[in-house]
Amino acid sequence: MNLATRFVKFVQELSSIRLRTTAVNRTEFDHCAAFAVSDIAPGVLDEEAAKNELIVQFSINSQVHCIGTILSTPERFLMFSTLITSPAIDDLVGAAKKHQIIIFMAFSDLKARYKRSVLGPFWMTLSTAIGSVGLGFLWSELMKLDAKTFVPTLTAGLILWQFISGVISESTTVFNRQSSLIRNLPLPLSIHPAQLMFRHVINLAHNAPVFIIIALILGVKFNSTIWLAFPCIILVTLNLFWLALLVGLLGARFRDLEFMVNSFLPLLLFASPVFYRPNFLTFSQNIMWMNPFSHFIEIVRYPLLGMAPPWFVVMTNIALLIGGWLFTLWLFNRKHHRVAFWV
Amino acid sequence: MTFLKFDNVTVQFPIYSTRSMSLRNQLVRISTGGNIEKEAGQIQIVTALRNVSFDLKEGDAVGLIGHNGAGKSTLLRTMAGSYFPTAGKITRNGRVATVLELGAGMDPDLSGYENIIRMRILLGMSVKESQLCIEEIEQFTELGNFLQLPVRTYSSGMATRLMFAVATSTQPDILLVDEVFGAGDAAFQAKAKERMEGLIKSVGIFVFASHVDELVQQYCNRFFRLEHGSLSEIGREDF
Repeated sequence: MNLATRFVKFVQELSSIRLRTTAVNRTEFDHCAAFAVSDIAPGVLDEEAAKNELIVQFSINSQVHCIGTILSTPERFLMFSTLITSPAIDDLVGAAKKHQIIIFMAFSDLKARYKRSVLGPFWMTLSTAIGSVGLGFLWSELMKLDAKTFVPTLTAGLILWQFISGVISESTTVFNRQSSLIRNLPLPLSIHPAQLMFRHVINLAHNAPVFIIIALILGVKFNSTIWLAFPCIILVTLNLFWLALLVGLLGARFRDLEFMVNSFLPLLLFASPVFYRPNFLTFSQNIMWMNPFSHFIEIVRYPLLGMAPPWFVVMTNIALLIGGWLFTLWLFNRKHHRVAFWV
Repeated sequence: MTFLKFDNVTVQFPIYSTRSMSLRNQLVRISTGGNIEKEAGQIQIVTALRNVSFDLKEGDAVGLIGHNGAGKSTLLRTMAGSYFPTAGKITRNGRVATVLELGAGMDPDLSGYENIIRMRILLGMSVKESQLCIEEIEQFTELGNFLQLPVRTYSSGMATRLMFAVATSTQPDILLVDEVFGAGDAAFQAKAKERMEGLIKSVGIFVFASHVDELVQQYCNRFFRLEHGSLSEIGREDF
């Protein structure tokens, strides 16, 4: 089997594949199969020519149609990436089309929180400020560290930890809590994790001023590298998005995941560089870098404290982004239809 | 052109016991080769719909009858696209609206007005469109100034009025209704019936599940009987 054939087989195996094309006005086909001619008719055609021939078979209203095209490998790959959509990708595209719902729901939840208390999410800002100032000055004295560098480090760490742990702990029940919506309205499933992400990004924006104010008071000198924090936060957010979707799917199927995650999160807090920098540790620094959350925190904290993040931290984040999304999409593709029965 | 076509559709439900819904029990089962926590591996499969085929065209008003647990609600949810078939094919064209469980997406802390907009956006309207029907919903619900209060302060009858008004404020091509006429006091029931009748007349395909034979015969021109997940079409005289 040549590589192209194996790719086609792999895509076929992924799940029930639907084929879309712009040529037939984005019709949804009911069945699609694609194979290289050399697989169907070995020996009949000239081997070399057959390798480049790709037959796409599909049916509209149970009538089978075939198109045979001679394509070069990159062309073929391009055709596949535009033709084949999976339930998981359809769902994400559907959610992107309904971004209005995501934005509206996130803001309407925020509004409901402001209604319940005058300060609303600013209570969180306040508690972050009190927590990081109190802990920062106490520990810098106890551990004989320079408050001017330790307090901003701790504040940045705590704010990022709140963002990360908030997303993870809430995502265990992201589908269960919306069960009445999932069962009654045909909305794309991924709008729920997307809405959760959006809400936590808003919370992060509420907390961010704490860091800026503390850093300004303590006289941290900002330079232009601080702007690097923005692309880094986007990278972390995209990483957390697949995690939220994955944890949400698992949490919908396994109801005890919620309790497991919530009991492990405090442990993870100490195993992640929240209160300290990985280079504060002499022996276990390498172990610390095994924890993906270290990379999520450090990639943003480096630019916040005026340094570009080390290359391996950026690479790990990108690798996690690609690997994580591929795995999550694969799982989502397979279990997408089941979620409505789980919740 | 509105249509809804089911071709040999089978819907199977996985029913999980509390043990099989636990990740801890699953891990124990897998790590001991299935000797411990055998129960956790057992998942019961219930076939809710069995080889259901039909073809609905514009102008069809279908009454679904069948006893409790025959698969009426599952069929409605599968028609809506919330449940996916295990086997078979569904082709659907047209905007679907459902009146199944009332109040999906309602937030008790938000006011009546805010909930109207919220639920209408969830039903698929843009922010602008969602504000169009407010006056009409105000009049229909007769809730007056209560609409400015949080929904959690409403009595259940008031909340039902609001939920029903919002659910029926859309202009769909396909309308799926699961027995909701029995809500509220007598005066409201009469109004609800009138509103429902208006809506039924305006849609292309109407599917209505009910235990009340008179209602089904009054509104519908085709009748499906569901028995243990199997569907058969019956005539008006077969009740």
